[in-house]
This record gives sequence, C-alpha cells and structure tokens, in this order.
Amino acid sequence: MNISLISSIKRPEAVRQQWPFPCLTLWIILSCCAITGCSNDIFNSPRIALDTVKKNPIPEAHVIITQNNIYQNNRSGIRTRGNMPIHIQKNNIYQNGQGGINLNYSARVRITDCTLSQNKNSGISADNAIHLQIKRNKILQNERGGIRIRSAQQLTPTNTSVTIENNSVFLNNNGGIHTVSDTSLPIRLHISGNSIYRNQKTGIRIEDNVHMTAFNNEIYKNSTSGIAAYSNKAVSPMLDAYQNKIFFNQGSGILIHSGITGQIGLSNNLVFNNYRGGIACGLWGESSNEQIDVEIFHNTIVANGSDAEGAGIRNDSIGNVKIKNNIIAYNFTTGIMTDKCWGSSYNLLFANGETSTTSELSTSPLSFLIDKKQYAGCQTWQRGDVLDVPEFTNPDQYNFTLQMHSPAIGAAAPINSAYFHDTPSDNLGANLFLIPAE
Amino acid sequence: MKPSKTLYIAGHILLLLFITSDVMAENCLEAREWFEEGLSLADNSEQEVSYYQQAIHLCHEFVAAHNRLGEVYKNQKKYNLSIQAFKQARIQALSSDRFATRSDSRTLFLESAVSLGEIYRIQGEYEPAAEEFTKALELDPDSRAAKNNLQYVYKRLHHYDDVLPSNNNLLNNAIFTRIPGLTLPDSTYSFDFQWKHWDQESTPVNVDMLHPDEIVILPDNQHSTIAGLVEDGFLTASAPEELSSTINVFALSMRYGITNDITLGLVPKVLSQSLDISLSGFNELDIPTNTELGDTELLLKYHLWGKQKQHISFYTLLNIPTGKEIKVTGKEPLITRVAVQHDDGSVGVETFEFDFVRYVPFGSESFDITPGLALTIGLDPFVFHSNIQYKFTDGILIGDEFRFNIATIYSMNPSVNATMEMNFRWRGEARRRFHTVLFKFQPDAIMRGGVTAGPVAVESFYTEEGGSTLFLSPGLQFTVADGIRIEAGIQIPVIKQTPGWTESIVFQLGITFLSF
Repeated sequence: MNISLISSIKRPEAVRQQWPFPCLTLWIILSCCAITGCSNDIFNSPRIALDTVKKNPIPEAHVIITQNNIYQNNRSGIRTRGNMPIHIQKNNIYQNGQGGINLNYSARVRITDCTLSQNKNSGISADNAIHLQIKRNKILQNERGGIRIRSAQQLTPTNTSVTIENNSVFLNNNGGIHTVSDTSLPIRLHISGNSIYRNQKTGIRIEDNVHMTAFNNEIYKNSTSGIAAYSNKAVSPMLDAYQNKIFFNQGSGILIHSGITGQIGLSNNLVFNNYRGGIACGLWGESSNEQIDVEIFHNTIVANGSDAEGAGIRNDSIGNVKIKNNIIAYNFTTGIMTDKCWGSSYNLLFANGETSTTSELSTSPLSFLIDKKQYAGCQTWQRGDVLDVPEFTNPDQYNFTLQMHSPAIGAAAPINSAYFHDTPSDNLGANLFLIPAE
Repeated sequence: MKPSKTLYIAGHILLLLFITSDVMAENCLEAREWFEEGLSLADNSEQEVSYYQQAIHLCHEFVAAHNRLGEVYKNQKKYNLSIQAFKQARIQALSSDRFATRSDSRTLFLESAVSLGEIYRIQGEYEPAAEEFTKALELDPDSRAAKNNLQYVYKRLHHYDDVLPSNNNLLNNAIFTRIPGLTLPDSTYSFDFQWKHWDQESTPVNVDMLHPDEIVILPDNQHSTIAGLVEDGFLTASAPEELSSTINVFALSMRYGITNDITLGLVPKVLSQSLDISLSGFNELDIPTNTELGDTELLLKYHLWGKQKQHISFYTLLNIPTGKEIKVTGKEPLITRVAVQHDDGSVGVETFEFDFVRYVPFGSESFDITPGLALTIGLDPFVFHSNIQYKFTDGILIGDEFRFNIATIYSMNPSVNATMEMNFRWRGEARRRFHTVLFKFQPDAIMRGGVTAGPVAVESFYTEEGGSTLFLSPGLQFTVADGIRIEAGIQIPVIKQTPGWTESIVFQLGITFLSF
C-alpha cells in the first residue's frame, strides 16, 4: 500500500481555471493497490489504499486514485463525499457489493481509463455532483446500469456539469447512461465519442431538467431505445443529438416522450435498423400533453421498425415536430407518421411500409397507395419532397453514403442555424463524413 | 454372463459417464470464465476471439460462446468464419439436451438465426437471408429483429407481395357508405365502378287527378258506353293494381384531388329498369326492359379537419338531370273488344288493337342539391366511416331524402376486409306523375261510327308517401391486385317503409382502381 501526501500553495493556471478550489491544497495519491472486501456485512470493507506515484503526476486533482484493483467489497468500490477534486484513473473496479464508484454531494471528479464491471449497483453513480468528467472508461456488466447521474432537490441547488467522453458502456443490466434532475438548475450533460451497446435498457436516458448534448456516439443493440428523453415534472429535458450512429436497438433509435431540442436539434444522425422506429416523439397510441418541440434535420433513417409503430419518424404527441432534409427509407410501417399530417418538407421517402416508391411506378395504379404508405395515410407529398430511390452506396452493408446520381444530392433546403452554417449540406440525409466510422 | 458381472460392468459404465459429465460440467464452468473474459474485452480483437475459442475448446456445447465468436468475426468482416461459428452454435443448440432445457435456449437459437441472416444480407444473398429470418420467426413470431430484417430483404428482392404487413392499414372506403371523411391528395385520381341490383315494389296507389279531357276504356267494361265509363269513375280504373320493377344501376365514380383539401367528383349512372304493371283484365302484360342514362351527380368535398386517421369533410352533391322519363312499349299490341253505340242507336262490339304505354322515370328531371358531412376514424384494425346528408328536391318525381350511414371495416388480412354498415333513409312525399293508359279515344271521335282517333296519353297523378327504411349491410372487400379492389355487399331492409316503393335485398358489386 502506497500513500503520498503532497501540499501545494500555488496551482498551475490550467488547474485554477478548471478547479476553482482554495489555494492551499493537499494532494493524496493512491495507486497500485489491491483492495478487496471481507465477506462480513457488519464491517464496511476498505475501499481504497494509498500509495505515492511520482511519475505522471496529475496536477489538477487533489486526490488521485490510480492503478488499483478494487473488487469484491461489500459496498461501493470507491465512494466520495464533498467537493475535493479527485482523479480516479486506470483502476479496475469490479464485483463490489454496491456501485463501482459512488459520488455524493458536490463531487468534482475525473474518472479516466478505468474498467468498472460486474458491480451490484451502477458502474458509476453520482448524486448532486458539481463537475464530473468520465473519459475512456470501460463500463460493463453492472447490475444497475453503467452511469447514473442524479440531482435531487436540496437547499442550495447544484449546478451540475457532466462530460462523458470516449467510454465503452455495454452489457449493463440496466441502461447505459441514465441522468435525472429534479432541481431548478439543469444538469448539463455532454456525451461524445462513446460506444454504448447491449445494455438491458436504454443506451442514454435523460429525465426532467437535463440539458444534453450527444454527438459522435455509437449507440446500438440496447434493449430499449438508443436515446430516450422523459419528463415526470414540469420541466422537460432539452437535448441536441447530432452526428450519432444509432442502430439495432430493440426500441426506437431516438424516443422523445417529452422534451425539446436546443440549437442543433436531432441532426446528422444515422439511425438504422432500430426495431420500434427511427425517431419517435410522444408515446405510441397515446396522444397526451407532453411538452414536445423537436427539430429533426438532415438525418438518414433507414429500415427501422418491426410492427405498426415502426415508422421512420413518428410524432404521436400534440407538440411541434419539424422534419426537414431527411432521408427516410425502408422503414417497416411508413416513412413519416405524424398526428397532424404536417410539419415536414424536403424529405426523401422510399420503400417505407409495404410498398416501394420508384419513378417507374409513378404511372401505375399502385402509386396512390405507395404515396399514402410513405406518409402513413396522410395527404402525401409535402413541399420539396422526393419520392425516389435514395441510391445509397451499399445499404446491405450499412453504407448509406450517396452515389453521385442520388436524387438526394442537391435537394436540401437551407436551414438557418449556427450548426448548419458550420456544417452546411445541399444533400438530403445525414452528412455521414461527420459521423465516425467503425 | 453372470448377473453380478453384468451389474459390475454397468456400474463401471455409469461411473465413467458420471465422471465424464462431471468433468464436462467442470470444463464448462471454466469455459464460462473465458467467455466472461472475452465479453469484458468486447473490442472485436484477436484476443477476444481467442478467449471464445478457448471457451469453445473447453465446452463444445457452449452456444453463447459460438454466437459471440460469430459476432466478433462478423464485426471483423470475416463472414465465412462468422457463418461457421453461427452454424456451430445452431448445431450445438440442436444436439445438446442440456441446452434445450435452458431458459435462454430459444434466445440463443434465435440469435444465431438472425445473425446468420444478417451476414447473408450483408453479402447481398437475399434468399438465404430470408430463409434464416423466416426460421427465426417460426421460432419466435414476435422477434422484432427477424421481422425488421425480413421486410427489408423482401423489399430488396422486390417481393412486395411477401412483405410483412405493418398492421397500419390504409383507410379503406366502405361499400354503401360511399363518401368518406377523407379527401384525395392533390392531383390524384380514383375510379370505381359499381353495379347495384334490386327489386322494388309499391302497393296500389290512389290516383287523385287525371287529365280532364281523357278517358279510358277498360276491357272489363265492355258493356258500358263511353259515357258510362266516364261516370264509373276512371280515376280508380286507370290506376294499376300492383307495381314492381327490377332495377340495375351501373355507376362510374371518378374523383380528383384539386388540392389536398378539395376533391371534385363526377358520378354518371346508367340504369336498366324492368317495369311490371299489373292491371285488372290483362293477365299477361309484357315486362319490357330499358336501359338509359340516369342522373349524374357532381361531388364537391372540402376537408374541414383531419389528422392522421381522423378526418371530417363537408360535401355537397348536385344532381344533374341527365336521366329523362322514357316512353316504353312492350310486345303489344293488345287486342280487346269494346262495345260501341252506333249512330242508329244499335250497340255493336268492335275489336281494337292498342299499345300499352308506360312512362318510366330514369331521373328526377330536376337539379337537386344534397349537402352532407362525412367522418372517418381509423383505429387499427378497424376503420369507421359515417356520413349524414339531406337532399332538397322539388318533390315531384322524388321527394326530399335524408340519409345517415355508419360503416365499420375490419381488416381481416392485407387482402380481405369485412364490412358491416347501417344505412338509414327517410324519404318525403313525392307528387308522382304516372302514365298507365291502355287505350284512349278522343271523346268526340267515339261517336263517329267507332272510328278511333288513336292512342292518347293519359296522365295521372298520385302522392307517393314517404317513410323510413333501415338497412343492415354486410360486405366483403378483396384486394385482387395492386391498387385493384373488388367488393361485394348486400343491403337488407330490416325496417321498411309502407306504403310507397320499398326495396327488397339490394346486391352490390364493385371494383375500385386507385391511380394517379
């Protein structure tokens, strides 16, 4: 067991910017330990051991827990309280009786390059944290989800900021990432570059007062939706999900039961082979008063659905959903299924439902039915729509880039937003070059 | 062999089996550890592959390891190896008793079938892919992955007839409730052709007015003078004892969506009518059949409100009187003998031939307007249509008419719908013109030696009473080809109006084409 205590009067500038804690600091570094629990529930088994690590010091943290094996403890592998900055790095935390890492009250923690597996609670759980960075971890097979972040009502509301980057979150018995806020201040959640797959519930789930930005993630084969937003309170979550690849989820690719989109909306996502639908707003078969105001721009939505609710894009709510510049093809039930039959334009629809759409068929008696199927029986053909073969490069191999002669090329209408000013596209569908390849 | 020796050998075999199975169980436990190691990597690396291979080496019947190995190979794009691994998974699944008793055996078997299908799909081999997904569906008809992929594969094969139904049916129209709450999309057409057949009859009517300068000579009154006939009161004599007719209506409905919210329609009709009139004294009157153009209806419909499967439209039907009242003669002349008083006072009997003239209305001969409201609600697998309308007429050939229709359509499968409708109709009184003149003399001609002046039209009038009729109308609709639907239904009058014209059972056959 190695323990290192380091005191410091002056901090580097970068540290000051990121961690505004008092100048007088105490550094504790724990590393290279094997910390196991005892089997007797009466005793709280030790969670960490301390050691000195002289190489690769990490200046921005006060407590560094690094390169430990923390396993089979009766309770959490690591539990923290208070706002002392902590860096948990390169630990293998597994089979603990509660969570892998349990962060309470105003935590300021970085968790990087750890493996958290088979813990009885979540891999990482945080209540009323202030600042969390969760990067490059492997979080798997935990009983109650990969990452759970909560903010509950308290006397002084916590302004929570969470960054989750480049992690693999998979095979957890609950959802991959679950964030819920019951406070007046939102949890600001940035999720990027993660692989979130094969979790037993939703890949990413946000509830109530959460503002989420999710981009460049691969979210697949989760047992319900890829991304889901819910609200049980007055405040609905706000989300921007862009440049994500969302596929093979048992539920919908993106489900917004209640929520609004921010400056970017649901944009440039590749959403395919999700088994309940591509992007769904509201709850299937129930028209209730959820707060929904969603923009769905420039997505490629292919082959989603397996039953009646399996539309490319669906809106069962009474809220606003704007659908523009998307490619929606090969979806099970229909292309666009909206309760009000309006709100969409400049989309390419093809072979949704039980029918095809090709220009050769446009003079056949089938065409009328075909069009109706693309729009779930609505009045069909909105402004700027293209009903033709999208001409993907190889949709069988999930290569949805467009061939040169695709009718989607140059068919988009401009969208006036900062995001699309930076990433403009004249083509319908997602700009797949923005989405990371496998 | 002694029994004791047999028992000894059998005991050894049992012990061997026990030890073997114990060793196998132990190996499979160790294999699970390797499997878990592989899962914790989950990076599609060669190391992950080696963990699963080790697990399979220790425990051949470890189906999950085979599946996971196949999955990694698939992710590595080593499709042949992947197919082998998934096939091994299936073989082990089928050959292992222990596997069959496991709670997750179905899931694992399903996983191998779906994964194999996906690999075939990736390779563009749609037929074997479809086979695998079909196998998966046989095992689990609710498998979303299998349904999703199978539909995709059939679409790629252009096998649209095989595509799994989405259970989200279009809003089909009803058979008798012809005007739904939907309007047609912009610039689209629909055509349908309907044949409707029914018999109808009317109880004897009382003529309340006859043209004053016309008289009728009836065969039964051979001994009467013309003057006598007049006195007998020909008002009653000129009325038929019984009226019945067989009607066939051929209607072509053409509709066009001017905009998404406005539909224009035109429904020309051709009618074929056989009018059977029973008159006292003439037992074998011919029943001529005539086919003529009937009235044409002009439909203008406006979509008042609607969302996905709920629509309300206001419409108006304008009746254009393209159908006329037609003079019809049968295979007459009929011959009758009439008593005539000559100038010298003697009374003789003259034989006359004459035509039996009927006037059959093929239209109302007036412009009538019918405003109405139509509602459509889709609740899969049912579709409900309802419309309510009132026809304003001049009350001469036809009376005002109120109709209220409700239709339920149940989608039995993608090709067959069952329909049940309730059609209520109320008709107002009509002041009907009626022509049943047998033989006519100009009164002044009679007294000139019995020389006939030829037949003269006699016009009688009577009031056809209105009333209410309620029909119960079952039917079936069949989609026989893409965009072509055939439908058949009957209307059974469960409550009939009396007196006045009343239909018997109405038969209807129709064919509908949907097209641009």
